[in-house]
Amino acid sequence: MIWLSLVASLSMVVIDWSSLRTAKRREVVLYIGLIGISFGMAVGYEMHLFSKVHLLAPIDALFRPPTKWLYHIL
Amino acid sequence: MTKAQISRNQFIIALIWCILGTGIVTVPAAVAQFTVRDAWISSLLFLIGVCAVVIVTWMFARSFANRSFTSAVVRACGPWVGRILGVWFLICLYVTNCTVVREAEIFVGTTILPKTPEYMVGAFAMLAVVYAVYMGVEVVMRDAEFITPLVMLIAPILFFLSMQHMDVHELLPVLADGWTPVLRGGIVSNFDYALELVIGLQFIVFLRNTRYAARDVAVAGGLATVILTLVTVLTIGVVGPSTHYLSYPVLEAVRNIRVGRFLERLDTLYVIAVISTIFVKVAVFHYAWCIGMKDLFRLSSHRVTTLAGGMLVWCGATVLFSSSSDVQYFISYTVPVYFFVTFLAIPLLSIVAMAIKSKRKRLTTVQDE
Repeated sequence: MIWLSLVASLSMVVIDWSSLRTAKRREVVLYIGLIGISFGMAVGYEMHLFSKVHLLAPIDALFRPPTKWLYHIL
Repeated sequence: MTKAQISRNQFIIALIWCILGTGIVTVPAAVAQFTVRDAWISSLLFLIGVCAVVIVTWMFARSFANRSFTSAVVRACGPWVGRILGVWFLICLYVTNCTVVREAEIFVGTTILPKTPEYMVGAFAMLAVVYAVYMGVEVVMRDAEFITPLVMLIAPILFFLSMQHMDVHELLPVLADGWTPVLRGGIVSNFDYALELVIGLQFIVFLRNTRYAARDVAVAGGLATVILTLVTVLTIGVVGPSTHYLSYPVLEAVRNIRVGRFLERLDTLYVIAVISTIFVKVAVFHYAWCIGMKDLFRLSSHRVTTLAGGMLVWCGATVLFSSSSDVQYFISYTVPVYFFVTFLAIPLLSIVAMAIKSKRKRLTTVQDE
């Protein structure tokens, strides 16, 4: 998955190169940020990091109890 | 450059595929966790969620003509609170898209490509999606239009051929266990799937006439309800109590089709139809996410985040959900309230905020005069 995400990242930069050169700094930062997060996810996945870290835990913690309560009261 | 516009038909079709893309695969299975015989009533309750979304769309179209939801929420709630609510909405769209892509990966892996790594399936799916999204809203909507006749050709054939194995007694007695399991099943269909119609708010800005937006959502929701209920009835009638234990009961119903001794394994047609509609769903949600990013971060074009966002969805799908049971548990036990807050409460909040803002502005104008 690391190799595939690396190839995908490089291909994206090549495709968007002409628009990146004329883009605002804010857009370039956002673009690199999104690619960086994706690549980080791919590396983390290959290193089995996400078997210990559950990224949806905050959403689960916030919404699972009220959903279970909803099922309970019905 | 002229503004991209979509027709009412394209809007309705895109919304229908947004619901049925995954709904036709997972709704019967998700509802069957609570009730099997009365699952069709739970599917019928889908209409309640549709009514809620129609009301929200009607109020939204009156308050914010020619604005996407993310742009409207910033206007109504101000740059700080509005942006926070907008980012919350975009995170929900992202998680939804990851869920759909993961469901698609698992579905394709289970049915037709068992030896292919699931992330490869996701990569190729996202490649097609980002290409369509990169080309713009008209391409996404035309894709939805293009697959419609193909699916409409395949679906009735499979439906009527499956009916030969249907046993109506599997649906009887009606409400033998009371309303409790039916209502619990209805939570999944209403909150998880019907509320997804709110995605239409992101596309209102592209409609030629926003006056009919609520009516279009009602038409899409009504058609989706009818189709989902028919599919649920057929699935329960063919598969029976085993529906409770199967991940893809509709697929099993289609697999039962045999015409004579030579025509069978028509489930391939079903898989093709499902993959096509899931493609439309992911493309619509990804486009909505991209224009949301454009509105919130004041980007020059939705294309800035299309490719990078597509890669983020691809990685997120694999990272957020390790297995199909993870997806199923998330859909059943987290998504209902999560969607209720994001897709109903936040739009209503922005409509109320805009109404208060307009009233205050009017009062100030009157006082000045």
